[in-house]
Amino acid sequence: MSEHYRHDRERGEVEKREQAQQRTADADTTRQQSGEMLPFAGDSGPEQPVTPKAGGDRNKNGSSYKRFGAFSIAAFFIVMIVYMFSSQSVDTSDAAVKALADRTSTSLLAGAVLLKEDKNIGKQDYTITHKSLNADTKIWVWDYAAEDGDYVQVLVNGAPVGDAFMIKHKPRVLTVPAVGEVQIKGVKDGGGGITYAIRYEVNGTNYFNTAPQGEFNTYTLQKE
Amino acid sequence: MRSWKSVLGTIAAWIYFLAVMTWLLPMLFLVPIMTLSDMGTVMESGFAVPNTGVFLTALFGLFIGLSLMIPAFRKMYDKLPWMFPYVKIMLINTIIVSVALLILNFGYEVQSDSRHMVWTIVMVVQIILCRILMSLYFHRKRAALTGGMANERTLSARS
Repeated sequence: MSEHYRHDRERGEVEKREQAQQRTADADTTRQQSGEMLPFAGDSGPEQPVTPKAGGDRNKNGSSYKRFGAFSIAAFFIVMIVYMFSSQSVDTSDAAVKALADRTSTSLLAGAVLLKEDKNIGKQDYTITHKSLNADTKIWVWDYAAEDGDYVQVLVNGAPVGDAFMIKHKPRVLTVPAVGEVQIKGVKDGGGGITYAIRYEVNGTNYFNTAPQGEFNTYTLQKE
Repeated sequence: MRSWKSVLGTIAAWIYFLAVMTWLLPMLFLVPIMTLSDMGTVMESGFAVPNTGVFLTALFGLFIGLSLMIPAFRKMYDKLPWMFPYVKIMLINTIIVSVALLILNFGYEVQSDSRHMVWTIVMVVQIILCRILMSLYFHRKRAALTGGMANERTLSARS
């Protein structure tokens, strides 16, 4: 007994067909006994002239093809839509060009993407003087170039604040002391240098920087 | 007129097969293997890797979808009865493996052992669950019986 036959049998289709064939055979026997002629040879046997599109067609008019085709195209559109909504376009405004030249900006928002591909613009340390009376402040860290799998770690006064993480276009928010030394350690370069931007809440400034793998950028926060 | 249409359709099917399906069919087999290798790299290095498998899967979906939705291209599947089950099973398999790598990459976005462990378990559960669902689906709707010369084969199996 073949696999196909066994499968059909489970679905009860073969039984139905056998019952129908039995009924036809019974009718033929009655006809023969009464001397009637069969309509044509082979009518009563299992070898009926069944066309491929007739008996038990599970792919009528290519419906299986169409269903799976629609599923495949839907998969394509879902990926494209998710990609379109998750990807961020490169900011080419004058403010963005100026920010790239100055490596700092107060006009751009956290999460601004300035480059399509990573470009090493050199590492730089900064001293940030502010008037904030708060003990803590927020920082935003993100990749301002290609999301290519760069990893950084934030350290405050030499101690890590959480685990190393992958920088993406979407900024990661961390809380650090308003006075002290904040360091960004380059953990892994996904290619083209570890390009990241950091925004400090205390002075509302974005810093666009590069952290070589295994090295630090230091931001010294001090009150006026 | 009808025969001309048929000839043009056959030519179009041949062109599509040679231009697209000749690279797509082996890629459907290779991409899941490459994705599994990427998973090994992620777990070994501790860092996420770019997931190109998702975009390849989307591309496969588009080309397979077109080949199945355009009647002229569908002739390929009638002439090569093995192709529909192969494409169906391998595309679903590629989707499962690509989603698994997405999950693993998400887990490895942060360098934390506990997070790595949790998301690795989630990934393994996702693969097992999806493979079980896939098996159940193909048990109920056998891929070999739903395309190509299925009807002829079904009839010959019955006789």
